[in-house]
Amino acid sequence: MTQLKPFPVEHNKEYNWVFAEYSKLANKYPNRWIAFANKKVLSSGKELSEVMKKAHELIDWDEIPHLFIEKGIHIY
Amino acid sequence: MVRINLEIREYVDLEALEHNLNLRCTRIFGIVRFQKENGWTEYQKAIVDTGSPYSVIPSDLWNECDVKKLYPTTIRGIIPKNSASVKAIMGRIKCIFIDEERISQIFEINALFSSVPNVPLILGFSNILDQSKFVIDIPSKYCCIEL
Repeated sequence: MTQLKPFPVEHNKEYNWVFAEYSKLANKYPNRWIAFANKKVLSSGKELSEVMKKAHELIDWDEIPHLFIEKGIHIY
Repeated sequence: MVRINLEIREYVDLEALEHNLNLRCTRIFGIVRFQKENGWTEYQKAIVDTGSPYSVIPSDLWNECDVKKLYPTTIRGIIPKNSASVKAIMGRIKCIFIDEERISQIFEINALFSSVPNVPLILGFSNILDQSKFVIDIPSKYCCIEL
């Protein structure tokens, strides 16, 4: 069970990498969820739950950075 | 009341770059956790969207949460075609905002539960932004919400 805790500061560098590489990632993982760590994509797919399950099998972190990667211009 | 920092993130628009234009896409992100029957989800980075009256939650995220379903509906964007819509359920879900230091009180928000998983998590107005002071200072790269 995940307890209530703040955002892990050390994950900022992971998101900094994702946004620096965002356009390249959008070409490779268009409109997909990705989970990532240590500047590498661990898993990707349409379903966040599956993406996170695979990622947790690959790395022993309590929480794993993840994001929906938009391809193209999305206006919501 | 607690002040929670939000993130302003930018990335290069590659399509524009192909047309020799250096344009950047900007989004504001907030970090939330949703309440499950036996705890809370992992943190989620969500697009904060002042153009959306309601939050939108991907199917497999709300499916693992403790939710109240209200009525079936559809989500539409800017394309005026019935085919360009996503089935959804209007409902209520509990969440908290977090940043690197602080945790907000619990909010029960009105949200559209998407029937499909591959949509982004969007935080709209109902029971979040309309309950808060929302500060955006793009030149200073500062953004926060007081809840």
